[in-house]
Amino acid sequence: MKLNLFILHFNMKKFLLKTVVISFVILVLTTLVLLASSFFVKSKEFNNYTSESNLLFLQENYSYDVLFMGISHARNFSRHRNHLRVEKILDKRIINIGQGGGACGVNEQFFYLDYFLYKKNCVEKIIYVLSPPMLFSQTLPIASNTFDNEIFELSFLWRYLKFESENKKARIMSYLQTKFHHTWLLKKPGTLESKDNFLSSLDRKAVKKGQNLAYAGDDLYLNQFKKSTKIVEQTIKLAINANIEIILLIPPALFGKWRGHQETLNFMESMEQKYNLKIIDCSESVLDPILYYDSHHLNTKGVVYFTNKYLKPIIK
Amino acid sequence: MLFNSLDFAVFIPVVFLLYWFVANKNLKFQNFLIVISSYIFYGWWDWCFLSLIVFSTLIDYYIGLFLSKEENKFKRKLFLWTSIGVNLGFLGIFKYYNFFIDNFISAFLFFGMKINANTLNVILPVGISFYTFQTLSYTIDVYKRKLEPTKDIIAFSAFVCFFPQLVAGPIERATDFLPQFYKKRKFNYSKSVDGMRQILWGLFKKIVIADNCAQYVDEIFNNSAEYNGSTLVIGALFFTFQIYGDFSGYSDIAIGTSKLFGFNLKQNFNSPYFSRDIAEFWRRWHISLSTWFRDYLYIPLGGSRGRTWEKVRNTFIIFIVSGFWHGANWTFIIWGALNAVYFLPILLTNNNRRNLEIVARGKFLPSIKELSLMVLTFGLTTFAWIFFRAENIGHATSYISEIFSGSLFTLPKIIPKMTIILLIFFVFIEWLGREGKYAIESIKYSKNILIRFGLYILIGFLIFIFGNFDETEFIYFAF
Repeated sequence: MKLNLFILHFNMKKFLLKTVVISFVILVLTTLVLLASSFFVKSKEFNNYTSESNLLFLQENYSYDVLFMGISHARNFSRHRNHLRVEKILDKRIINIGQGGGACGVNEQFFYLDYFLYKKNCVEKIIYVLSPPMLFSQTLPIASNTFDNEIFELSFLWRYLKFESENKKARIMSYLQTKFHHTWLLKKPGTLESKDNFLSSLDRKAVKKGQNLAYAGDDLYLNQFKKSTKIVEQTIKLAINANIEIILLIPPALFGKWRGHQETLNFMESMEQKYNLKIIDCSESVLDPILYYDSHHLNTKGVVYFTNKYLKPIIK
Repeated sequence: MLFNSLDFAVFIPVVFLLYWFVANKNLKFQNFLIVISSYIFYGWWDWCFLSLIVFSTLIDYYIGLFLSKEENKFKRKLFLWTSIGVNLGFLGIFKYYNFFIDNFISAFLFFGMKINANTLNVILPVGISFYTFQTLSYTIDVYKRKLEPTKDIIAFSAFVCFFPQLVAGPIERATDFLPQFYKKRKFNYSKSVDGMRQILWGLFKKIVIADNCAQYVDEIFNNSAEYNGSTLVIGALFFTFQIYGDFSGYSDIAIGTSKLFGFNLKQNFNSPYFSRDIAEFWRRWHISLSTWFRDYLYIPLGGSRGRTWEKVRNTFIIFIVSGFWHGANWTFIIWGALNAVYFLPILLTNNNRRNLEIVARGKFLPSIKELSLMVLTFGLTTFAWIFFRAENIGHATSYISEIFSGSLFTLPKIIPKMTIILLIFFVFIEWLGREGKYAIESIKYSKNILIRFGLYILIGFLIFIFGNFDETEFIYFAF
């Protein structure tokens, strides 16, 4: 009886040990490869205006004057070397954590800001570019490619594991798996060329198509809007607690107002009253097609014009 | 609970440790733990449908006892048909009722008569086709006096609901499986390691092969009108691998998990895509279902004995019933009938038992003839799978007509390079391991620890890198 028990325990221990060792080796090897591939890509010296990634350049204990956040309309202030132009016009040091490409919604923008602060960075002002589709979209909160451009960082992963989010598992898996992909290893700093394409007129059909894409359909998802605005409010509180001034801004579009514009503006006004914030509705501020490369993204000339005319006064 | 879920990754070590460290002193306790764990495993989907399993268990348990005491032929038959009626009744209501009602309505409409009949708004309980067949095998075998009925209700419940194979098989026979619950299981190191190895390979098949193919299959089949013939061929080929990876992957995980608890389950797949004819394919594909139909339907009908028309009838019956078992849709019936058409010439020329051994045993490569026969069989199977995957007959025929059009000779619109590389790796490993019960079984004979561990780590690594972790359901859960 005792011998049988001894054999059971001995064999069981051996089995469990073997299982644990193999699992551990797989885990360690995977982590090493993740770190190595990230280190390799990071060595190519990316910065805020040559990459859509935030972790590639985000450091610790840095201080900035202005932080942009939002979706592509925010990121556009850095793309195509616009970042340097905006910095020059505003005479401020800026950082842009906005994410385009339908990859990031308000929740993950909150997470990015939280991580920025966790890294003991500081900033004076935040310009939160509140594009209405960002608040209504049902696809942005579940996009799994949010962190595909980010390097592997254990602290980032650990913090995100503890963060509440929809579709978190798929997002994490995509974050990790893309680091093994050849497109990640071949990643190069983005173009420094200015975006000079422009429109000659407003194409209504293209606008409708674009809006449907941005809102993922014809409807306005008010439940999603409620969820999103709660998270934006949390973001505002996070900024206020960190002594950062936060400005809410509706970006310009060639067609003027997005669907859901009024709801967005009402929300912004409620935040203005509640937290004494600056808000600015720029939806109809730029209506010249020559300043856009598509119906809602400013080209380089447009970014320069908008920064001079609208951002400069509020930043000062 | 899905095998490819985080829930299962937590569930299995907990049950394993309880089983071997707490319940190992007593056989009843071991069986009781299996019953409780299995109910939790199943209830993870829907607690309500557990009542069906419990009801089937009680009915068949008591009918087994009555059958053992009863000598009157008429009463024995009555008991048997009660069991068959109850079990198939559940299956009929949940799986086939709407199909028959819809088809009756259509048939009457065809003759100009409009009838009012309501369909049921019910979902199909997961695994009902599998555990129904398993319990039926018990009452039939007890009725035929091939098996002594059990008096241990816990052991019988554990046999019916054993969680590794509850929802998608292998469908075990009471004669083989039930006696395993009468003996206390002892931890066996080699068996457990073998189980882990098989689970690893099963996960690779499901998460890497099946789920990666599935993305393209869904895209191509769901939008088949937009694709050219060559792309549709890719869709059909990928589905061929998807369904194999998915189902045989499930079976490997089920068999591997059972080994961890000291049980032996039937081999359910034996390199079916290396078959040289359709008869061989059906000896190697979903073996537990094929042999169930063979023993409880085909042979009682007369099997391959008798006159030619009887052989033809029996072949069509078994294949069509097998197709219908998969789902209440004409596509499955056509799929079954098509396989009968493939099979008949081999049967009628007495060539159905020509290829019993695995192809090219002991050799690295097959002969040209063997290769040609394998490619032909694979092609026929792939063609039949189009019906299996299509939404309806119209979809299948339009899919096939586009394949056999001029667009077959244009470049495919989708060329998933990485998935193709993974498939080549997969087929290569499956070919090397075709003589084993699962592809990487033979690695256990390697004395080189580096090779063994290296392979496990490589597969684990591949699962991590290329795996699809969306926790997609297994295809056979729908059957």
